[in-house]
Amino acid sequence: MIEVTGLKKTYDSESGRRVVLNDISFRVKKGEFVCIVGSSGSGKSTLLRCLSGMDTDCEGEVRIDGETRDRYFSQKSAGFVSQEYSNFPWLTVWQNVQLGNLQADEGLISSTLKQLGLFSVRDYFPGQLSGGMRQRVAIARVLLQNTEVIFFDEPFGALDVQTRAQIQEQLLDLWRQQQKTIIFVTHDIDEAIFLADRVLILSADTGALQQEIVVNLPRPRTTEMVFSPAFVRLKKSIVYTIRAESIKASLRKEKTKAEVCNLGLFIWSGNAPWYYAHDQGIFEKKGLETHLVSTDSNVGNLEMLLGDEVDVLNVTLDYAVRAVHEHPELQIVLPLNYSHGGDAIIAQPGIERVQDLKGRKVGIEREAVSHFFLRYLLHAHHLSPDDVQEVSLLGGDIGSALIRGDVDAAVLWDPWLSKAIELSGAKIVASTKEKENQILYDVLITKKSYIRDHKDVIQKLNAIWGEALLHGARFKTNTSVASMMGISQKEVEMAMQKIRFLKSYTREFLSALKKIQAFYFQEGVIDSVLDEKTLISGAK
Amino acid sequence: MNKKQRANWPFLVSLLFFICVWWWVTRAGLIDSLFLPSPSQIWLATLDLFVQKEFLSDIGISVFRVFSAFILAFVIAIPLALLMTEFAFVKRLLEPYIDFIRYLPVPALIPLTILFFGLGEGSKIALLFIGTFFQLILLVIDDIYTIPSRYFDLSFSLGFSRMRVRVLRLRAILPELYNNARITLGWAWTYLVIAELVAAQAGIGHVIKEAQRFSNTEKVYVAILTLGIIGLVIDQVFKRLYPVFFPYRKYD
Repeated sequence: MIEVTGLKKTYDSESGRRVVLNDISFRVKKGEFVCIVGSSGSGKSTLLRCLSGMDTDCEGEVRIDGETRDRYFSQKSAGFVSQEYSNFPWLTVWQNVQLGNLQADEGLISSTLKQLGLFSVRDYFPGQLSGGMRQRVAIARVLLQNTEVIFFDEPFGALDVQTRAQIQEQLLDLWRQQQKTIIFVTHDIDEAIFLADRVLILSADTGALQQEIVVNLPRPRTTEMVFSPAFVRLKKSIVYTIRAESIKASLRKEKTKAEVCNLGLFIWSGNAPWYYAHDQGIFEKKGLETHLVSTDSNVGNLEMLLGDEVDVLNVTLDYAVRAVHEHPELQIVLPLNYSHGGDAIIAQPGIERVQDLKGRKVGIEREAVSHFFLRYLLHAHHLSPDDVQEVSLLGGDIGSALIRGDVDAAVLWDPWLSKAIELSGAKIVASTKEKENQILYDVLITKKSYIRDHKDVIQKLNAIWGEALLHGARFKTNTSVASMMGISQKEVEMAMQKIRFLKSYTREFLSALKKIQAFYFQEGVIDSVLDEKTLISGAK
Repeated sequence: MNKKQRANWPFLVSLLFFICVWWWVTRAGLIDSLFLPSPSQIWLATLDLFVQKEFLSDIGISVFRVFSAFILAFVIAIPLALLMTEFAFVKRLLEPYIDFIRYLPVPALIPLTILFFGLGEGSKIALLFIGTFFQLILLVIDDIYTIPSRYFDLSFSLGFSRMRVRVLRLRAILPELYNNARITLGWAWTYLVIAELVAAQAGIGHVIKEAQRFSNTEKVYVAILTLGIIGLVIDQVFKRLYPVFFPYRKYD
C-alpha cells in the first residue's frame, strides 16, 4: 500500500545542514496499523508530513497504492489528524464533520456523530468542547472522509490518561470495522504497542529508521493486555532501544577549532574524570585549553586522529595495540582505567560457561571492544571464533535482541549491560570482574610528532587526570558529568563501581599489554611483538 | 440597580459634574463666551442648526463620503491582499508602491485630488480612499499571514480546491477584518474633516469652517460634539455586533 524508499529530509540552518530524516525505507501493507515512535526531535512528525504530501520538499520516493505520492494526492486525499485539535473554530461540530464528505446525507453524519458520542454536542463550536471531544470531531471527520489511508500525528498527546485509553479503544474498533491503513506517530510507547501491528523506531541521532518491531499481540486488544508478559517484554525492548538511541544522540560529534588541544573521548563512564575536569574548570586551572570531542565509535576515531581532527584520542588498549602496529607514528601516552565488571558476556538460562557458547548465537558489535573481548575469551578457553555464531548488531540493539530471544548470548557493556540484565533476566557467563579477564583498559594515544612538539600538553593532561582522580568521590556524584554523558546520575554511580582508574602504568597493565599482543600475534592480527618502549611514550 | 447600570455610574456622575462646572464657569464670566459658550448657548445653537439650517443633510453627506470611500477601499483591498499573499510575484510588484504611498501625509494630496476630481464628491472620496486603502491592505496581509498553518494542513487533507482555500483564508481572517474595519473607519473620519475644511460646500467640516468664519463658536462646538457622538455610535454598533457575527470567538 505504502512504499517508502530512501526518504531524506534536510534543513539548512545557520549552523549548517541538518539531516532530519536519513535514508528511510519501509513498507506498509493495506489495512495495516503502523506506529512510529522515537524520542522528541527524531523527526517523526516531519516523516508524517513527507508521507502525507503536506511537505513535498523531501528526497526519496513515496509510493501509495502503486502511484507516486504527488500523483496519488492529485486524485485522492488522505485523512490527517494532528496533535493540535484541527477543526475550523467557526463551524459547529456538525459542520466540521460534514466537511469530510459534503455529499454525505444527514443520516450518515448523524450515525458517525453518534458512534463517537458527539451527537448531543453537534451544534456546539469546537471551542466549547474538551480536548478529547475535539479530537473525536477530527476522527469523525476522517471517518466520513473515508480515505484508504489515515495519518495520525500524536493525536492524543494532550489528553488525560482515561480519555486517551477510551479513544484508543474506540479508534481500534473503528479500524477493525473499516480496515483502513493507518500510520500513527506517537511518543507514547504503551500507545504504540497497544494500537499497532508494527512499531517503527526512529533514531534521534541520525534520523534513520532504527528498528522495526512486530507486535504479535492478539486482537481485539484490551486494556488488560498492557499487563501481559508479552506486552511488557515488547515495551522493555522498545524503551531500551529508544534509551540507547538518546544516549547515542548525546554522543554526536562536535566540530572544534584547531588551536587548542582536541581531546577525542569515547563517551562512557570511564571518561567521567575528564568530564568532571571540564565541568570544574580543572583544564583552565592547569592552563590547557581543551575541547572534548565526544564520539561513540572506535572505528572512525582513528581517522580523526590521523587526519588531525583530534590531537589526543581515547581508545581501548586492544585497539591501541593494533593502531600502533599499523601506524608506527602513534604511541600510547596515558593509561586511564580498566573495566572491573563493566563488560560481560551474558546469556539466556542454560548457558553457564564460556564453553557452553559453542554453536550458539552471540550478539556483538563488530570492531568494538566487545568483539575483542569475545574473541579473547574464546581464545583463552581454547575455542575458535567459528565455534560461535556471531550476530553483528549495534551496541544499543544487542540488549533488545537478547531480550527478544533473537540471540542466545550477548557481549555487552555498561550502561547497556546493567539495563539488559535488569530487563531480560540473563545471567553473566564471564565478566571483567574476574582477574584473568581484566584485559579491557582505556588509554590515550597520539602521534609521536605531537608528543615531540607539545610536551607540555601531555604533561598537563597527565596532571589534569591526576587531579580529577583526587576528587574521585565527587565526580561520581556530579550531576553535570551524568548529563554530559546523556545518562542518569544513578547509572553513572553504578557504572563507577565497575571501573578502576589508573594513575600510572601498573604491573597488571603491562601484563595485559603482553597478553593482548600475544593473542593478536597468535591470531595473526599482528606479525611481531613490540616492546613497551615502542608502544608507550616515556616507558623505561 | 443592575450590574450594567452600576458600571456606568462613574461616567454619568463625572459628566454631570463636568456640565455643572461648565455652567458655573460661563455663568460667573470666568471665560469669555467667545471661547467657551454656556450650555444654554450650545443648546440654542443645536436647535438652530438642526431646525433652521440643513445640518442633518450635512451629517448625511459626511457619512456618505466616509462610507463610500471606506467600502471602496475594502472591496479593492481584500482581493488584492489575497492575491499578494498567494502569489509572491504580485506582492513583490505592488508592495513598494503601497509602502511609498502609505507614508505620504494625506492632506498633502488635497490639491491633486481637487485637480483630478474637481470640487465635487469625487475628490473627497478619492482622498479618503487613499487615506484608508493603503493602511487597510497591509493590515489584511498581516492577518492572512497569521492564519494558523493547521487550517491549511486540514484543507490539504480534505482535498480543498484552490478556490476553496481562498475562501478559507477569507473566512479565517473575518474577525480580524471586522476589527480592522473599525479602526480604519476612525481614520476615515479624521481625513474627512481635513478634506471638508479645505474645500467643500457641505458636510460637517464645512459647517465648522463656516461657523468659524462668522465667529459662531457655539456652532463649532456643536459640530465637534456631533462628530464625537457619530464616532461613538458607530464604534458601539461595531462592538455590539461582534458577538452576533462571531459567536464562536468567545470560546477561543
